Parts: sequence; structure tokens; C-alpha cells
Amino acid sequence: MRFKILLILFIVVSCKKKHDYPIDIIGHAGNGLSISNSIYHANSLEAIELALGTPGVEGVEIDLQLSKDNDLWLFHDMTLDDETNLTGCVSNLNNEILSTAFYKSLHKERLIQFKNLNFSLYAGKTFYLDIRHYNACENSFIDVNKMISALSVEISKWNQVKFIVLTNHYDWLSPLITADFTVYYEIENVSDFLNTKVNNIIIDGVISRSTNLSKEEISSIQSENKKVILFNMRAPKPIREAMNKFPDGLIVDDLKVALIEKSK
Amino acid sequence: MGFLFMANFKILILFIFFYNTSISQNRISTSISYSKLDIFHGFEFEKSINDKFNLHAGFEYGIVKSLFQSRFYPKVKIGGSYYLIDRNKFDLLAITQYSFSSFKFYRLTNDFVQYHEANLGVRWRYGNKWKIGQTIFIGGVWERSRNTLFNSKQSNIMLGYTFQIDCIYAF
Repeated sequence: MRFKILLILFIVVSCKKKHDYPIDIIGHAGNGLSISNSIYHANSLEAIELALGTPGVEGVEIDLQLSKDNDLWLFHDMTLDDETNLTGCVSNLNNEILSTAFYKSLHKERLIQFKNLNFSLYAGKTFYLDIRHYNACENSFIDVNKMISALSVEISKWNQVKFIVLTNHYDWLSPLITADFTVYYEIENVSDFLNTKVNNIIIDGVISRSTNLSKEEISSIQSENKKVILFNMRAPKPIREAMNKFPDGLIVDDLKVALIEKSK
Repeated sequence: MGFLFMANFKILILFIFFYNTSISQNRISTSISYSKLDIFHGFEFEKSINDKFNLHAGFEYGIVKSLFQSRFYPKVKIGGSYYLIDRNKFDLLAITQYSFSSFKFYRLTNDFVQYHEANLGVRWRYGNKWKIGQTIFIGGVWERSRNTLFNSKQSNIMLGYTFQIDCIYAF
């Protein structure tokens, strides 16, 4: 009898359920924006393909800026000075000059244009396009119609990849929605979301820092058929805490840590 | 492939530590180290092969992954050191080390990532039978894992570092 009890206990204790949170893991600027473990520089082709090739990663977030020639380039910062061999802003430079740019990192990755990404390789993946609305060198806003035109030309070519446009600029929401993009609004708190409802701006989802939204707030947003994506997590504990709020996705800087937490 | 590597590694350790019989001193140590990959706790055995050179081998595990993420992360290491300064109580050594580590990062598909590290560094120790010390490494880290885009193994190289605190017993 004792043996049977021990055997049952052993089976119960030793069986490891494979648990998978139903949450998309998304690479921040490819393989991580500001993390010392990131092998390749943020927004480089190498970082994007390393992230998308990692088993369990559903998509990447990338930062897009318009060049002087109105083409989309992947770059995060306000100016090129700190991270690359060039100076100034992406918006003030033409494609010919930007094509000579490379990051001041170990691998000297080149800056890339959105249209040079090989989307035929990325079938089934999701790209979260964080578009820049401001030119820091001229202290002026980018023309939203130029941004929409550039996005429309590129996105329309690829049906096998999902594109979601991210913006934190309220005034850009309506034009982007009218242009028939899938639009997520970056919010500071749930009031920002409620504001869009009041003004009848029908966004598809929201993106927010993990610490800015509670589990209940996320649930209330999701009850309105909106997706919720959280970001700003690096260590295992904040990633675990974010997962326990059950958002639709997490934009993370350490993909392997996030995948461990997801498949615990 | 990983198992073959581990088997060869064990044979190499046995050969190094049992080939040379002119031993002046042995040391065992425990350490805590901070590196790019994790915070490791480990054990090391070091054997002097003459007055100037030592060989060492050891085992570590990643504390964050193993204890806080329920994902056992082992590392094995082997290396050698050379005395730059050898005083009564104080040693300063130039040290080189190779290590191999691996963990399963995605349980649903059984995907592992492997790391090969080749490091150079310095080590200092103070004490008699019981010593305390530090080891600092810099070097290359070669990450190897499956890439589903290209359906093949992918290798990526990055710079690595280790800051280690040692507690040593000499016998």
C-alpha cells in the first residue's frame, strides 16, 4: 500500500506539464534595443533575422523613419550621431548618404531600408512598425501623408506578413486608420485609451509600458476587442509579472529569457 | 553532438590531470561569477604542474536560469594559468580558459542554445591554506542555436566578460 502511494506521489511530482502562455513574444528592435546581451545592433538586418529565426518568436518591433527621399529607414534614435558614423537626422539625409551609414558596434552593421528586408523569408511573422513623427534636427513634425504613402507602397507588396503600425502621436491616429492600416496606439495609461473611444477613433489595439497598466485594465481593454501589447521588460521577474497580466504580446529585449518564462 | 563533446571533454580533463605526477600543490575553490550569460556559482580544481604553470578544470551552473527560471544551465571549463607574481601570501596570474555551456530555452520545441567561450584574464589570490581572490576575464563568446528562417544551425559571435570572486583551499 505504501509503495502504491509513493508511486502515485512520484508520478504526480515528476510529471512536468508543459505550460505555454498564449502570448506572442516579439523582439524589441530585432533582438533587443538596450541590453548588453544583444549580439547585433538594434534595427539591423542581422538582429531582425536572428530574432525571427529564434523558435517561439512571433514577430519583431522595428523603428521606422522617413529619409529626405521619403523612403523608410530602420533607425531608433532622434539623431545619427551617437550610434553611427554619420551626423544629423535621418529625415534630413538622402538615401545615397544613408546607404553609407553603419553602426559603431562590434559587427559594424549597416543601416537598412525597409524595402531591403526580405519579407518572403518571414512568412507568418508580424512586424510592429514604430513610426517616427518628429524631426529633432528641425524641431518639426513629419508630414503624415508622406509617411502613409511610403508605408502603403511597401506593405501592400507582402500578404504573407502581418504589419501593425504603432504610434504615440494622437493626431496621426485618424489618418493612419483611414489609410486602412492596423493601428496600435502607445498609451501612458488607460485614460489615453478611453480618450480614443470618446472621440470615436477606432484603433485596433494599444501598446504600453508593462508597469503602466494593471491586469484589470488590460482585461477591460481586451473586452472591447482591442489587443494589448506590453513593453519595457528585461529581467525574468518583470517578464513573468507582465505575462501574468495576460496581454496579447510582449515586446522584450531578452528573447531567450522570455521564451523560458513562456514555456515553463 | 553535445554528448560527444562532453565525453571528449571528460577524457581531456582526465588526461591532463593524471598525466603529470610532479605536483607541487593542488587547490580547490568555489566561486561566484557575473558574466554576460548569467550569474554562475561553481567549483574548480587546480593542479600545479611546475613552479610556474597551473592547470584547472571546473563546473558551474547559472544561478538565475537554474534556480529562478527552473531551467538547469550547466557550464564546464578548463584552462591554465601562469604566475606573474608568486609571493608568500600573494599570487598574481595570467590565465586562459575555455568553457562550454548549454540550456534549453524553449521547452515546447526542445530547442537548446550552446555557448563556447574563449577567455584571457588575470587572477589574484591572497592567503595561505585558505585564500580569497578574484578573476577577471574578457574574450569571445560563440553562440550556437537553430535558426528557423534558414532551417539550419546559426553561429553568432560576441564579446564576453566575467568578474569572479574565488574562495580557495590549497592542499
